[in-house]
Amino acid sequence: MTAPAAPRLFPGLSLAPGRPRARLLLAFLCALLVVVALLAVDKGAVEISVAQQFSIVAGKLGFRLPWHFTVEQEATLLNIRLPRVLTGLLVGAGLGASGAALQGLFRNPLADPGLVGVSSGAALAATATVVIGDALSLSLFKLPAIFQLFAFPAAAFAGALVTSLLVHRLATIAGQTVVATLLLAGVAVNALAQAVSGFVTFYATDAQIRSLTFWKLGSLGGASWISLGVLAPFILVPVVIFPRLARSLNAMLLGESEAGHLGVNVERVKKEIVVLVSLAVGASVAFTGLIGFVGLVVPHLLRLLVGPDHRKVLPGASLLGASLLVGADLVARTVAAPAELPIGVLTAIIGAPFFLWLLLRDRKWRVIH
Amino acid sequence: MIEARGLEVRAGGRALLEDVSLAVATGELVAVVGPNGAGKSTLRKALCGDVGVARGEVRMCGRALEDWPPVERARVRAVMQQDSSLTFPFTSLEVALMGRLPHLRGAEGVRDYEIARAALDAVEARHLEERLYPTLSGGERQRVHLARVLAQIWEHSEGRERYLLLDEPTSNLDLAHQHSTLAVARRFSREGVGVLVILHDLNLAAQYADRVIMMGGGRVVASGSPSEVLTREAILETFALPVIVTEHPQLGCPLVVPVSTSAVK
Repeated sequence: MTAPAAPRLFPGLSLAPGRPRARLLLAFLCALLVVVALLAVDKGAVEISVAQQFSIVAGKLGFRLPWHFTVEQEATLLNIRLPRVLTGLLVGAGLGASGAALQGLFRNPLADPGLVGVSSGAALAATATVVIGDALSLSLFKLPAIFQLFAFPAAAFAGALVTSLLVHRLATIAGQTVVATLLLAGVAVNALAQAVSGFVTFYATDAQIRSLTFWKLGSLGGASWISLGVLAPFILVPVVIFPRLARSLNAMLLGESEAGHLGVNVERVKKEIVVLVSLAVGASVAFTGLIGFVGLVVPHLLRLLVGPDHRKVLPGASLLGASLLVGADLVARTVAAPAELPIGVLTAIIGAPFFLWLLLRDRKWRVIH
Repeated sequence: MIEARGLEVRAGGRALLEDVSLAVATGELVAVVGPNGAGKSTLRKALCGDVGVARGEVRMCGRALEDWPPVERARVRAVMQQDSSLTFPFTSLEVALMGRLPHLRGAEGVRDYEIARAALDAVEARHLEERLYPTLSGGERQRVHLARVLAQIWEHSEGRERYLLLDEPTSNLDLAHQHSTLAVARRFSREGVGVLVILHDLNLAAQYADRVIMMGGGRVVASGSPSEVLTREAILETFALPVIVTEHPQLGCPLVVPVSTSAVK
């Protein structure tokens, strides 16, 4: 009775019951993240071995461990390395999970926060706050640091929110996503962001040009404990809530009305996704600039490994995104040391060819309608 | 009972449905037939709340459709639409399992897998269970979606009524699967499910339906048993097609045979 199953796309991966395999994978991703993070803390201008890392942190907590470290190592670890690696971890987790959630929302694997313009929208709004602030001659840079810290992510969040709503509105016709419109909307928003940043560059002071360049290319160099503290809730809330929406997102892959017939409150889920993605992407852009393609590549790798089930993809994308970004930052700051490669350049070098490969593959798969 | 009273649906100043009233009781299979643009799919959408009605109301189990919490509604009623745009590589079994969504508390249990597999069996798609949905043929996809909606109402939830709305479930199917699909729908109706199915093939409607509703120009033009509705005159008037209606040699139900006006062969 049972006919032989046709060749599977990914041989050897049984997705159906798949729970032990998925758990194994998540455990592996956790382990990977720990290894990458320890390595990233280790390497740099000042090397700090894993033993010394523990020794320093334990020392801060009032325990003495037998491994010796220098004052310089302690200062580097606590003031520079740790906040930077943790920032990379959060931003990577946020971008990875946001990409997966956006792709579920748009029912298309090409929806990446960068490509559809959400990141640019965030950067645009953050840049605009500088311009408007200047115009009103109450430069944000003159405000106390803590206000600056909140003003940028808040503006970036608003920018990301407006862009995602706009793009969603443009690209969705009668519950179906038109991918061409989706990507073209991204092109338009990106162009607008370019124009505004060009405009600002024209008038900007040297300091402002520096921060604009940093937005365009992305960097974790500005990470501090304070920025980390502001960033954390923006990222952790979405990353924790996304998996709760996984089942609804799965149903929405069937189509919005089909999901409704399965009891999903589609409008509410859509709003939640848009707000959560805007929180994570907005805050990431505000603190680390435009780091593209993480939200595209990471969910794809996850789907290749565990299939399209969002219950596995969303937590997996957080973990893998964190590892990827921490790893990329490690490469960015060590490969041309003492100079630092902008991390956005690095992720684009990996991500853009990947995107092209997807386009080629999906032509066959008719994912682009 | 799903009950529609005086439904009117308008789009762009044009009435897609006008004064449509009908009822689907538990345990019966109602077929809706009619030419293209008669309002069959609009009726299906209005019956499940996918389209706003300008006038009239739809009640399910005596309760207005919009008063149902989405999840509860999904436990009672499953809907199969004409086209489904799933492009992500779920397996057929995973697609069928999605039908269990409104019943889940936590992850899918053993019983949900049993039901999903049984539903795939019922549509003769069990052998496709490991296949990835985007690699299936049109007919296979249609059967997998049918399995999904069957899994959704496989058992009744807390002893409540169950309904199944199928919008042209046989459009991509070969002859054998057209009949097996209608046979499954009929079996469900005999188990107490109220089934409404939109069909193009009048003979499928004649063979499997308890009642036939014929639509034309957004209105119900005839309603009743297959032999009452599927008459030569009604079909000529509604479909503008001359036919001979005779008796099915084996089943005794009406058998509709089109007559060619320009009988050149």
